[in-house]
Amino acid sequence: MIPHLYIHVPFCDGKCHYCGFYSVLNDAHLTGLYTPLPSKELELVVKARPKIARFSPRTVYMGGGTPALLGEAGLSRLIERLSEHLSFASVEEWTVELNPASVSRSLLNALRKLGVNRLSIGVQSFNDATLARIGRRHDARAADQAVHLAQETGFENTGIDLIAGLPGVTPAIWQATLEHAVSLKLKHLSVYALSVEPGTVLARQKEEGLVLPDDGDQLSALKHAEAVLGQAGFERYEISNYAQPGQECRHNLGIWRGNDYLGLGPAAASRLGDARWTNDPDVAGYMDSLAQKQLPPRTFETLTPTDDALERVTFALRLAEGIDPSVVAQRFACLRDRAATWEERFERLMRHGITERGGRRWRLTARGREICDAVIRELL
Amino acid sequence: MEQTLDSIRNFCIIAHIDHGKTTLSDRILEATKTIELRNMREQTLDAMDLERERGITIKSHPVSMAYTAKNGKTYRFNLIDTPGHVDFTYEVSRSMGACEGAILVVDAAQGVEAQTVANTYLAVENNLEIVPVLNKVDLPSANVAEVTQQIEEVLGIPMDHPLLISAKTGLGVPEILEAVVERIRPPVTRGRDAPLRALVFDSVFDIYRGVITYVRVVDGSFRVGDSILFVSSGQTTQLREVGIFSPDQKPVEVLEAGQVGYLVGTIRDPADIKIGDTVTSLKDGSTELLPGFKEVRPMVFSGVYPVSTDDYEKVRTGLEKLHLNDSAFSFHPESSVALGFGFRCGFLGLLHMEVVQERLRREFDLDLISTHPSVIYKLQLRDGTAVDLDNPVHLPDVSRIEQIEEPVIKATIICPSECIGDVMRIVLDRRGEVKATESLDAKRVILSCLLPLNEILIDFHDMLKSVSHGYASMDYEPCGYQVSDIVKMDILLNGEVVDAFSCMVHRGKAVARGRQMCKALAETIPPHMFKIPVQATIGRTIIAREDIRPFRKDVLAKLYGGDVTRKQKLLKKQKAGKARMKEFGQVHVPQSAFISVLKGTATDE
Repeated sequence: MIPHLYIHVPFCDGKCHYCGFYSVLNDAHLTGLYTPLPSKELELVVKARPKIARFSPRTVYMGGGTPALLGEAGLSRLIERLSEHLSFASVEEWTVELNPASVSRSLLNALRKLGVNRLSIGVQSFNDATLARIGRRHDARAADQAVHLAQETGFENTGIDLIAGLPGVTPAIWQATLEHAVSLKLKHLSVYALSVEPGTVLARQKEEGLVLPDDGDQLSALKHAEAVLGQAGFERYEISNYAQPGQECRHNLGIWRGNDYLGLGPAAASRLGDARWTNDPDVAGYMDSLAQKQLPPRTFETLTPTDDALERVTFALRLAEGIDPSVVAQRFACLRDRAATWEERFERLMRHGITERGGRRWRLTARGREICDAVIRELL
Repeated sequence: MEQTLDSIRNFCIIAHIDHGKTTLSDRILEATKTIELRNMREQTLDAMDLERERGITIKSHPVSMAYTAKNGKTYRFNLIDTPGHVDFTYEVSRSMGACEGAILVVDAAQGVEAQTVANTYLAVENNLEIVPVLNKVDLPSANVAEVTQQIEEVLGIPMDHPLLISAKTGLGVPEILEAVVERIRPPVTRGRDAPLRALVFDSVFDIYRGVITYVRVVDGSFRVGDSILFVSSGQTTQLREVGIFSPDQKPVEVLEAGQVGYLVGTIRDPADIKIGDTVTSLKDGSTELLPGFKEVRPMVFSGVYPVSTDDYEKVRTGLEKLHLNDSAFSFHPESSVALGFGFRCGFLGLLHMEVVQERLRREFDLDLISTHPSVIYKLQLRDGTAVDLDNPVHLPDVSRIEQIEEPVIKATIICPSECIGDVMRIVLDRRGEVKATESLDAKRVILSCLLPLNEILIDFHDMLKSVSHGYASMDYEPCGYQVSDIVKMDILLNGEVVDAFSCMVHRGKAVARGRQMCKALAETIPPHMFKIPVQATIGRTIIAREDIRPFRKDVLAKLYGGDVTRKQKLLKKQKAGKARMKEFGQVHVPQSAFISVLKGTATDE
């Protein structure tokens, strides 16, 4: 059974300067055509893998893009069609990503009716000048209102995204953004260090001379976030994610812990057993293929048991809960020898203040989190 | 082929690098119609890229030619192309031992250089008739008068009839051929029936025929079926083939006194043949050795290790194959704590070391790490025993050592007069002693120096070239041992000794050298997750330290379903990039770090 379902909605009403995710400009005609397609894709996936027929995911995550651009009716139709091929009966957590600019009371009510119980609002900053600089199409007030509206409509589990290290953000501005976030009584906060993705406006601006905060500035902004949020009761349960106790995002936790997941929509990725596939970031190709009852263009591969297992276990180092090498060895026979060497590696890293032990588990220290990828490489 | 001694001329060509030795050889082959021009390069020289690139010859390439002189008589010319670099002085001298004369080529623009001097002295010692020629006289920068004077004054060779040539255009080449006939004497022998004596001047290995020995017959003659004895080594064999170089190996019935040719017996191991040895007949042979034989022993040592331990056998195979045609270098297995299993290799000198290591890399496609080069130190222990040390790792505890002696070389350096100060400073800085200076001409001087060999192992040539803008040239020969205050210096990475970097240094230079090595390592070892101290120590005393700062940040901000597999692949690829580095403890050291400590030009202020 596949525990996690992701649905990608590849439409936006503009492109933010830093965003490397796949989206195309919103177009009412296109969105209308799009709504039934994830269901058609699922039907074809199930046809090829009858075992997953009518699977019943525990978490659903709708991201993008801007899912709200499908409209209330469109979203209903999308879900309705999907439920022909899967069951939403066991869903514990259902997240939808929202852009402050497209939040309305009626939309929120419609989402609640569908069964959505968690919202992730893309705020990024509570500083208007900063928002304008990075191409966001809302201001701090709209973000505020969106959060309040969500909470009023009964979405207790509401979270926001912030970006650390945006150009022009002084420590004072960052401090104000963090304090404002804390005041909103949120359950979840994602704080991402800005990364320059190829092909984005930001990448071009950087090439043209835009000065971005260096690694040191970025790390100190992240450290500051951890301090402020920690004081407000948030636990940093993953490199970039904070939650009030018990409010961690179960969907993403499942991915970091190495579970299977199915992704629908252009650019969506799936992990099923040793199979991996990622649909091409190509809405037109996606639509054409499904119109002809064919799976959308994608890259597909089968991993070796070792590569599959390593991918499933090593990213757990991003989590505060860390890794227990003996559990890894039990879960994956092919990693038994390798996991046996991890204990010693973790111990040596501990001497440099990079890892620490908590019972049988190993996790990263504050310094370790700054160089997580390097530690993961040690385990490969 | 019946040949009267009178019609044989055995000679070699000697020159400084790039003065035109190879071009002149080609012209002579062409003029005697020995080989067609288009085939020449492949046939006359081992097509060894490295030799050509570096302008050096490692092997002898004898070739036999027929030349009809102006007097109407036909002569047999045996041209022995000698190995042309400083580390092979002994081999060169033995090739000369097979000749009666030498054509000395001097570049008319460059003038006399260090190797010109060294080679001329060797030729004089070997009693050769020297035919000086000035090459490249067609160049605008040629200065015939001055170079003529240099040859007369510095080399002491009368220049009554200077031969002015251009090997490139062929100008003057016919005159050289006549000069070979007229001025180089024919071979002298006690007779073709006298007890057999022949000089071994080189050997090559052929996978089908085994070892092929190159000889100059002095007395007597060889025939197929003869049983022969190598006097020094005691090796015996029965001849299966004898022949001459015409220019390829061509079997003949009999190889007679005065001739140059080759012998094929049943010997399979090239190490059994010693250059300079005397060959005689097993029965009733001569007991009299030809002069000039000595055992050559490697002077410079270095550990050679595969980057990947899986390549150990490949390295062994590579060394064995190279050894077949270059028995001058030695190797035996050794192991290093840091590098695992590898080989201790002995070389005749620095260039030889570089050439062998480079050939291993290129011809066998191996990723190699070579350790800090060392010389042989003679240790006198307190208990009275003497120890030869070629690897610092094996140095006994200092409390047991009475004294350490280090090898010394006698160097001849030629440089422009205006940089004599800088050159002397380098020599003194390297604990050397300038014994004499002498003007070569209005612009250049010759310095005769004594230097500890270990001081020229690292970047001495580079420094010399750099202060002289490339004009200085140098030649050296071993010159005994001297007692010296030599200590072992270790390098620690992250607190652990990396034995591959251990080296012997003079106490007075240890701090500077230690700083230099630490700095070089700190600059080439990439940042790690944690700070890495790089320390140089003598015994327990830390004499230098550099820190490699850790990298600041290495983490992906966002990782969700869409990225996982792609990201994992990227990490795996980055990891693979590191596999090419050697891991010591937790420190990854790239190959470039091993090279950087050997360059060590970073001057310390």
